[in-house]
Amino acid sequence: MTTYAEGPQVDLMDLAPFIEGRENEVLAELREHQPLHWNDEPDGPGFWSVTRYDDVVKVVSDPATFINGEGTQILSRKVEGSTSTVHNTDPPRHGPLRKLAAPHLRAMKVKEWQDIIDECVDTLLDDLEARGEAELVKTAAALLPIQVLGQVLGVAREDCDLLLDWTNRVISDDPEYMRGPDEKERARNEMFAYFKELTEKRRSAPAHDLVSKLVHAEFQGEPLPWEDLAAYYFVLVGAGNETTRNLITGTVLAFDEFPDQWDKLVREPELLGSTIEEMLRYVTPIRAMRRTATADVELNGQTIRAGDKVVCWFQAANRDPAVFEDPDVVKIDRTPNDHVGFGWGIHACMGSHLARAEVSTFFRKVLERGIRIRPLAEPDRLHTNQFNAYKRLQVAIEKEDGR
Amino acid sequence: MKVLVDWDLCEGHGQCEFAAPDVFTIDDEGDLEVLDETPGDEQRAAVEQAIRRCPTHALSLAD
Repeated sequence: MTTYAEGPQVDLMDLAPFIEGRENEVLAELREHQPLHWNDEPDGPGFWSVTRYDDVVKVVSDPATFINGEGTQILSRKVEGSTSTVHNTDPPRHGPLRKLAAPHLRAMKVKEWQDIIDECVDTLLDDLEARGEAELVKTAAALLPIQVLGQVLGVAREDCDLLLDWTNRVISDDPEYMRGPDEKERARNEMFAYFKELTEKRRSAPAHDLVSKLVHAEFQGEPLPWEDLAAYYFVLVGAGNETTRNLITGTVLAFDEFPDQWDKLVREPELLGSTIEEMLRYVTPIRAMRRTATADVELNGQTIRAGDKVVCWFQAANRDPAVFEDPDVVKIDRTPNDHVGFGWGIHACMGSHLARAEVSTFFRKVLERGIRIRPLAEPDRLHTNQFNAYKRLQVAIEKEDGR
Repeated sequence: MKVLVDWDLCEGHGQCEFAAPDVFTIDDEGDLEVLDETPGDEQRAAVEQAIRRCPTHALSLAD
């Protein structure tokens, strides 16, 4: 690859490297030679990218200068449409809004859902073992988060397939999920109609679920209006679903790439906790989030102008050799591991504890069963630059010798 | 050691509760409660991890 001095033209809107799984080379090139990189957009104003760990942390730790309220997608739009989620809300409204749901997803609270997580994982692994060979995303990775999240929210188990379909269609631009140009809008409307009905049910008869908590919560002395409730459901479903599945699939791929690390985990299952943190770093399911500058800012010798979009590449930060030794290598006992796999700053992932519980339960039970999930082919990656996401991965489920 | 909280920065993300559950907890309103403001040395590694992993840098230590 050429260097900055020679004027390379890295175009992050070119999806080919992301689809082919060589995006880390592109991001490394930027991190090394163009730590503040300008990208033109064919149908937009263009955007800056920051790729060094310290710069990413700096931008996301300054929510006054770099706001979420203008959207966090790389493209100039909000995936949730005109509604305003907690994710796209800035201070001072953000903190109190976040606290309506966050305490119900905290580490200690997530333990109350452990039985449900165990049950979901057991069912999925029984099915995988019976098949012997399967497409992992459809058969397990996509199902676990949506089944758990559905029950945390209060969605009936038999309706979880609907949730999955809506998320696929709303979040992604992948042509495979788009049945027409207004697909996102249609999926949004279907999902909101479903949740409107659930909201009314829980308003009259609260249950032990998150929808009930939100319906009966007070925000600045008032119940949340329907628009804000809808936005909240939207962000929980989208964020809880489109991320954890990719951490599961990405972890299976990472262990295939570094089989010695799987063998090490088999020998030392007490490393499961640090393993999950390492996979959050190595896989980085959400590659990037965007901010918008509210003032002119000097960074790395250039000026970001007020109103400019600034994309923070967590994936690049998580492989910054200034912070992580051998960043392109999986080390399941890596300590310290100050990754930004859940983002950083006030908008850091609200579902982190649930995600950790789901993924660690999944691999704990794989270990306990003495099985190994082995990729049989290259994965099909989602056509997007913002999410490290997999559509399909064919795998074999093998009983390990002597276990 | 003494645990210090910058209450202007704390948003109740609860990464501290994950790292050091004997020292930090988040209540039902989403607010941090420090269970043990002067934890013993056996908690040092966990508390240091909690400080590093706080995404809003709200925690610090006074020795």
